[in-house]
Amino acid sequence: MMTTIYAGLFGGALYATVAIGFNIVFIATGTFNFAQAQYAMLGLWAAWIGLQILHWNLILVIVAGFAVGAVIGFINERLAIRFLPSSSVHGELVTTVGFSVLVVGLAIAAFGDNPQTVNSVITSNDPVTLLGGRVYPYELVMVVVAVVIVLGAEILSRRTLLGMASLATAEDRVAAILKGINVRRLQIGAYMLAGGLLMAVGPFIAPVTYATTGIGDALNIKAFVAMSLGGFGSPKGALIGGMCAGLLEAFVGRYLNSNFQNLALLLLLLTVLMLRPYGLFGERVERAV
Amino acid sequence: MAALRRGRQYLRFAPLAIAAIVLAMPPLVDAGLGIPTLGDGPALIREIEVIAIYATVVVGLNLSYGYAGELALGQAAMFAAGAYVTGMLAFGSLTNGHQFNDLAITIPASIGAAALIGFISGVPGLRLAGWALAYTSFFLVLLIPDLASAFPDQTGTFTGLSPVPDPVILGHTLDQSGIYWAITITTILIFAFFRNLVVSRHGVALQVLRQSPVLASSLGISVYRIKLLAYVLGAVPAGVAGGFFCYLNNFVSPGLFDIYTSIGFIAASVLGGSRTIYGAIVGVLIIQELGPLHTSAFTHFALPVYGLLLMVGGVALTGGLGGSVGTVIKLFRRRVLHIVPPPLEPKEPSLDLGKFDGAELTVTGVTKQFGGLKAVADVSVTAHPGKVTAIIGPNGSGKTSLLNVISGFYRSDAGTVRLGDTDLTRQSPRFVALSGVARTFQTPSIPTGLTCMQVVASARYARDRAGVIAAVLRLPQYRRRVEVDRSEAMRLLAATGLAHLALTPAADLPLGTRRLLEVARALAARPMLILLDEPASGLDVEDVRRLGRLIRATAAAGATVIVIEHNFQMMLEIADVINVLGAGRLIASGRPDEIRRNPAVMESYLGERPDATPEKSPSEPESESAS
Repeated sequence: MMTTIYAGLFGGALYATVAIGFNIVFIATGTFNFAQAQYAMLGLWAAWIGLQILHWNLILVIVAGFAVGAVIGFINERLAIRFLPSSSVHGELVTTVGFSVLVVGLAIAAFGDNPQTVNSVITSNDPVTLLGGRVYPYELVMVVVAVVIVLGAEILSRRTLLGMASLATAEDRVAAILKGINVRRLQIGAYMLAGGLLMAVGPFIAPVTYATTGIGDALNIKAFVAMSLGGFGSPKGALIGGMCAGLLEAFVGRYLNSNFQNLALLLLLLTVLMLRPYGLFGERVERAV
Repeated sequence: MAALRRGRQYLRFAPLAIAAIVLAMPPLVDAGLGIPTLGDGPALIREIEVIAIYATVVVGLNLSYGYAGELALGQAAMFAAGAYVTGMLAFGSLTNGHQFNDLAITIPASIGAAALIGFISGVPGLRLAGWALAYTSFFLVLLIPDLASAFPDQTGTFTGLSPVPDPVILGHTLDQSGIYWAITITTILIFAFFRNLVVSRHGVALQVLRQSPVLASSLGISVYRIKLLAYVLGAVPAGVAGGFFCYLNNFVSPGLFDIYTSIGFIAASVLGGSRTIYGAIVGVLIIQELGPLHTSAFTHFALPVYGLLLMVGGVALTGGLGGSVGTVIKLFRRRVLHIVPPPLEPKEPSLDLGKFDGAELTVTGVTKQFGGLKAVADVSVTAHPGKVTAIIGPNGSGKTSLLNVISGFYRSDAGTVRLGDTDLTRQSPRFVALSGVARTFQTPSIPTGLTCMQVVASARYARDRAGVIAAVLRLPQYRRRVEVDRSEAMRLLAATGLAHLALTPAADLPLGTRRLLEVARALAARPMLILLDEPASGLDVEDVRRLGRLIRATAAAGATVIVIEHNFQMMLEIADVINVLGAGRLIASGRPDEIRRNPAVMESYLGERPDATPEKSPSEPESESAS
């Protein structure tokens, strides 16, 4: 029972973190980056290279991961967003899918199909028994990391000038430009921050999932479930949505049938879309003519 | 020259000619024919079969993505559903060993399964614009291996079902040529059906929707329903193709269908032109040469290419290569063959509009608030059939907000709106439109890619329905409907003086012409009430005069007309009643000569007191924004 909860919490932390990446981009630009989850996949490989091959220390791996993620985020914005004609509605749909496919394709070319083990460097690699359930200490570390990221995003978006400028831009791009907000720079910044963040957390995820090229698609879709459940643009919603998705997945896998994990998540997503299409913490806006 | 002109006549038979060649392939190949890069012998036959199957999937994707503007990633799931249903029926694994292997059973069952999957993912996925559908459909692809291992007896888990027996049609087992003809004939039929669909009034409605959901709902078109229709119809070819794919391979397994299968289809769609029909073949041909869609091992190399293609395609190639070919053909016809339709002489507007059943509009105490701002505050206005009712006021006085409340785009916070016996208060734009209200927009909303006649006829889509099947098969019932569409549109184009532009692309016309076209479109809905939102702004004097006559003629034909305007002078000339708004409130209401003398109006709207400017003659009051 507790073992299942721990597994669910780890999954939830993972989905919440990726959903925060979606949110950062969404809040600041009103666009949605389909490629976002692939940064977490790249972060796993960054952790593998940094920790297992080069034997760097953890801080250095995190900083380097962030830097590389930011650079890729910059490229992402340049290739998939910058040149979209302003008239295209959801034009980023196909271009960010394209960027995602490009990243996966290059990652497979570089790292192959086989997963690689990454050992945790902060905690022991042996499971411990806690409150009657078995858990790896690094799984709990990831949960703490996710909560810290969510709190950080919540403060960033609600309490700082940068966050408010982002919210204003998402609300009304033209009005934001007229208020003197540099929308372009904000947009690039959001892609860089979201990319850097998700690559930087690689060392906390990799001990559980291994470094693998195939994880991005499943992560992408589950983080989207988290974000839909919590509401677009809400960091705390992402955390709650992520935890719900993670726990549901863990419990269905443990007590029902692991073949039905994805099906249960799909049903959750469909239910949310039918009953509360704007999520638990999302807001609906009236459209104008 | 004459020969060239005759050549152009034959160009429209090109798809038929290609179809004939494709059908004639088996005997030609037996006689030793080969095609460079595609091969010869049985390999060539198989290559054509595979291209036909993939192109069928892509043409369905083009309908939902290219024409309806919704990107779904689930084409592989629908394809898989078609393949599995055919496989399970042919194998008998679904039906306790009873094999149903007749194409008349398996293919319709595959279509049903694919359409059902489209429906299940589309109903929730289309409620939110954009991403939700991409993900619900993406999810379905993720479920394929799960479901395969959850039902091992039916699906054979990861090894799949093999060997699937050759198909039977009405008791005759098909040989290799038979399968080839079954696949190619089905493909040709599906292309013909989809081509008919996109040029039909349903296709026009999709183009309206893609341009602007706001416009679509103001024409009474249900945005949700037509998107769902396009998405579910787009699943049908995937189901058919899946069924044949199963027969072609003689087996079906989960490894054949993953998210990158879908990505391959999207890449083919983008490459060939998502807003085309025959482009699907071009796209699939190229992708097939780049890297076979069917070997998943090869996708490793193909992925970066697909990725780049989607990015370039999403930004630049809106028409795709298929679209570019279409443009080249058009340019060739115009520049080289000099085939240009002769320019028609414009005629004076006939102003023959037919009769309208106008109904009285009663707006009582309407208030609309945005946060702390009262855009409309306790406004009551009445408009009568056969009269032109003007609503004027300076910028920000709440004119357009009031119009949006009436037409359903804003929900009022208080007050009621009634049209005749119908209560329109807080109803949806679509309900309002179907209740007999038509409107125009401040910035004319004219979809690209449609002719003036199609634009005008699009207003009749929601009122005078014709089924999809009737349109696809061109049944007499549908032809009659189109005939009425055409004659009604032509009558209104003649009435507005635009008849000579009937076959001209509408979106590129000058502003004044587009304004008149919008009025014609609004009239084509035969509304009880027509709302004109600043129809004269940006027009030159001559256009304003034509518009004024048209507005008078509309009222004379019996419609209730409300005009929202800046152009005070024009309203003094054509309106029967003028209502003046200021800061969200109604400050005056009356006949033009009363309003002209009203001191409150002069002060609030024109910024001057009538007694302070005695030298101005009353027939020429200064209009602050007559330009």
